[in-house]
Amino acid sequence: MIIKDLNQFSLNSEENKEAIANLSKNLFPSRKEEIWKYTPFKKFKKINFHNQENFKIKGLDTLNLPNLDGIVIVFENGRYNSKLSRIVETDEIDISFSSDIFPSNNFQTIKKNNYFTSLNSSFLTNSVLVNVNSNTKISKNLNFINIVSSDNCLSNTKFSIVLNDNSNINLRQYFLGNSSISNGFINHENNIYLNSSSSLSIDKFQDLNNNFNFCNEFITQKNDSKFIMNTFSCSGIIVRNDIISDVNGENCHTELNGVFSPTKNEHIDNHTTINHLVPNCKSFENYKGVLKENGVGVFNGKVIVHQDAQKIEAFQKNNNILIDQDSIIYSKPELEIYADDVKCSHGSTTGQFDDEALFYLRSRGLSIKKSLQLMTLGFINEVIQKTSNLEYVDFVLKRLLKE
Amino acid sequence: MSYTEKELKKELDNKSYEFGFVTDIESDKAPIGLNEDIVKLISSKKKEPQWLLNYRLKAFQIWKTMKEPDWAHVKYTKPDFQNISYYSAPKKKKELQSLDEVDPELLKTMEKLGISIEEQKKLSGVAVDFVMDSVSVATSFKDKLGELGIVFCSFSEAVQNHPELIKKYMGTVVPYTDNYYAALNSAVFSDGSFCYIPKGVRCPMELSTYFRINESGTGQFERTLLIADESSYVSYLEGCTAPSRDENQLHAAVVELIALDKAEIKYSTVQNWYPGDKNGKGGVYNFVTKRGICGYRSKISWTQVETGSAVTWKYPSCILKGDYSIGEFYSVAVTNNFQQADTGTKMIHIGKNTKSTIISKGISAGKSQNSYRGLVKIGKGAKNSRNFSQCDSLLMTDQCGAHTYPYIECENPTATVEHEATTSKIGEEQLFYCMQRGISEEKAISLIVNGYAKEVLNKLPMEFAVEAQKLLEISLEGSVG
Repeated sequence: MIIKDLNQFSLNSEENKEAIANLSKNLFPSRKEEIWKYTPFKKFKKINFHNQENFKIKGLDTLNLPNLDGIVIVFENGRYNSKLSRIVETDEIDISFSSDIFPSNNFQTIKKNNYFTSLNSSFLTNSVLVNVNSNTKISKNLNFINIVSSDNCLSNTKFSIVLNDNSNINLRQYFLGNSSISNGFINHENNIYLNSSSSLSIDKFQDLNNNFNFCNEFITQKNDSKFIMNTFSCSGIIVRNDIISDVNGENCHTELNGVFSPTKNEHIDNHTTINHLVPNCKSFENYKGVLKENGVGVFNGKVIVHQDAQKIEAFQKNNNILIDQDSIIYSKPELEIYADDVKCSHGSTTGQFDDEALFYLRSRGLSIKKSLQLMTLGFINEVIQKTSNLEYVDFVLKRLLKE
Repeated sequence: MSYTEKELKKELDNKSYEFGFVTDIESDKAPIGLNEDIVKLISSKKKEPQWLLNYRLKAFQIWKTMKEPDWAHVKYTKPDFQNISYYSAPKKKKELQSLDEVDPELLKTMEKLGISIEEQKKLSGVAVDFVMDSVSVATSFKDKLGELGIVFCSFSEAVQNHPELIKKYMGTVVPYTDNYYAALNSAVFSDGSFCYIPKGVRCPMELSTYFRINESGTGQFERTLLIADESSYVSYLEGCTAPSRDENQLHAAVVELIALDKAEIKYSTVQNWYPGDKNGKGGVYNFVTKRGICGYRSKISWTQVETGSAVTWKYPSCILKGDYSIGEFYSVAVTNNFQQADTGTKMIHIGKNTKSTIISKGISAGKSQNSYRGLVKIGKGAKNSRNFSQCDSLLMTDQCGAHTYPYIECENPTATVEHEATTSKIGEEQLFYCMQRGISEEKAISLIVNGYAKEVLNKLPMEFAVEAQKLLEISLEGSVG
C-alpha cells in the first residue's frame, strides 16, 4: 500500500503528531501474524492512495437507502458533508465534531499497536461524537452514511457514541462504495460506550463494490446494558470488521450477528473478541456466510472469560454455505476460559444446500436462480429477523441476494 | 463422617508421583552441548551409514536457522539446548538372547511399572520393545512376528538391517524442515522404534513400546517409523512414565506413520511423563511431532490419553492423501496443578471422499491450562469430504483454564465440515443425583468424569484401557472445585 505524499493529508493537532509517530513504528501487517493470516494484502499493492477529493453525491435520494427520516450524518471521502446531512437540534442528543471527551477505556494499547487504527488517527480528517443523554428513548433511527465516491481515495473516519444511563437508541451505519469507482478505501473506527442500563442496537450495512473497507470497533459496556450489532456485508474487494467488546459491568447482554456474502474474488473478514471481565453476563454470536464465485470468507470469533467472571453464558455460532466451486471459508471460533462456573459453547458448520430441497423447489416450477435465492433467504433468515423494520429488511435482502 | 473437599485436597497435595524412582544403571553419556561434532558423534556411536549422517547434518543446519515457536498457549522457560546431553545409552553392548541377560535393575523397573515382560508375554500376548533412555534393551516376540514377515525392532537396528525402507520413508511425512523440534530431533535422534507390516498381513498382536526417560539431564529424542504396506493392519501402543526429577527434561519425538493403500493403523498412546510437583517445579517438556499419511482407502486412527508432562505441545495429524481414506483422532487430556497442555490434531483432506472424526475431551484441574488446537483443512480437490469435530472441556476449579482454538479451512464447496465445542463444569444436578443415591462425592465425580471420557477410552485396546482409567483416577482424585 502506497500513500503518495504524506504532507497532502492535513495534520492539525498534537494528537495527530503522536499518532504519526506511532504509525511509523508499526509495520504494515504481514500474513505471518495470526490475526492477519487470511487477509490478502497483495490486493493493496500498487494502489496510490490520496485524499484530495470533493463531494460528488448530488442528493441523498440517489443512494436509495430506506427510511432516512431521523438524524442523518453523511461522510463522503472522509469529510463531513453538511449539505447532505440532516441534524436536528434536540434535548436528547448532542452531536459534535470532535472526539476529545470520549470516556476512558482499555483500548489504548490495542489501538497503538494496530496499523490501521494508527493510520486512522494519523490522517483523520473528520470525526463525529454523538452523546445520548440520560433517561431518553429515541424512537427515530440515527443514520450514519459513509461513502467513498472517487478512485483511490483513502478516507479515515471516526464515529463515537456515548449512551448515558438508561438511554436507548437505534443506529444504522452504511458503508458504501460507488459502483462506478474503484480502489477507494474507507478506514473507519467506531468507539462505543454504553453506560448502565442503556441499550444500543446497530445495523451495519457494507456494500463497497470495488473498494476497500476496514472497520475497527471498540465497545465498552457497563452494568445492565444491552448491545446488539448486526453486520450485513455484501461486497467489497476486502471488507474487514474487527470488533472488540469489553463487558465491564454485570448483567450485560451482548449480541453480535452477521451475514456475509462475498462473490467474485471478494474477501470478507469478520473478527470479533468479547472480553468477559465480570460475572453474570450473556453473549451471543451468530454469523452466516454465503459464498459464491471465488468469494472468500473469514470468521474468527473469540470469547475470553476472565478469572472470577463466573456465571457467564457465551454462545458462538458460524454457519457457512459454499455455493460455487472455488469459494473458500476460513472459520475459527475460539474460546478462552479461565473461570469454571460457565456455560460456553461454539459451533461451526460448512456445507452446501440440500439437493433434495433444491429439487423440490425446481419441480414446482421455480428457476434455479430463484430457488437458490429462496434457500439462501431461509438460511440467513435467523439473522435477518433480528432487524424489525420491514423496509430495511427488504433493502438488505435485495443487496445480499444480489437481485 | 463424610469425606470433605479439604481432606481430598490435602490427600492430593501430598500424593507424590507414583512412578517417581530412578534406576541406577551406568550410562554412556555424550558430552553436554550441541554442535556438529555431537551430531557426528551420535551417528558414529550408532555406526550409521553416510547418508543418514548427511541427513542429520542437513537437519542440524536447518535447525540452527529456525526460531523456537511461541504461538502455543503455554508459558515455560525455554530449554537451554547447550545444557543437554544428546546421547545416553545403558552401558551394555552384549547381544541379548533371553530375559536372564537383562540387567536385574531394569527388570525391577519394569515390575514397578507393572509391565513385567514375562507377565506380558504370557497373559496378553503383547510384544514389548522396551526403550530405556533411547536404546532398545529387550525385544520380545520377535521371532513370532518374524514368521509373518513383520519387522518390529529398534530404529538403529532397522538402519543396519533394512536401510532401503528407512531411506525410502524416513522424513517423508515429517520432513526435517517441518518445525523447530522436528528439525532438532532429525539432527540428534538417538533411537526409537521401527515397524513394517508386509502386504496383506494382519498383525496378530498389539505392538507396544514403553518409553522412559531415565538419566537425569538427558533429552530424549525418539523417532518412530511405522509402515503398513497394502491391505495390512496393525495396532500400536505407546506408553510413557518418567521418574521424578526437579530439572525440566525435554522430550522431542517424531512419529511417522505410513498407511499404504487399504492399510489400517491404530496408534494408541498413554502419556504419563512426570508432570512436576504441586508447585509447578520440574516436569517434562513434551514437544512431539506425530503425523501419518493415508493412501487409497486406508485408515489411521490416533487415540491418546494425556495425563502427564509439565508442558505438552502435541498434534497427532493425518494427511488424507488417498481417495476414500479415513482419519480419526480421539483424545483425553487431563491437566492438574501447574500443567499446561496445548494439544489437538490436524486433518488435511487432499483426496476425494475422505472422512475424518475428531473427538477431544479436556479436563482441567488445579491451576492448569488446557487447550485444544486443531486444524481441519479441506483442499481444493477434496470432493465430498466429511469432517466432524467435537471438543469438550471440563473445568474443575476456578483457577484453571480451558481453551479451544479450532481452525477450519474449507476450499471445496462439496465438503461438509462440522465443529462443536462446549465448556462447563460438572453438572451440580448430576452430582446431586449420584450423592443422593449414597455415592460419595469423590466417587460420583470419578463416575461422571469416566462417563465423560468414555467415548475416547472405549477406543483404547483392552490392555491400555485399564491403565488409562487408573491414570484418570489418580489425576482426578481430590481435584474438586
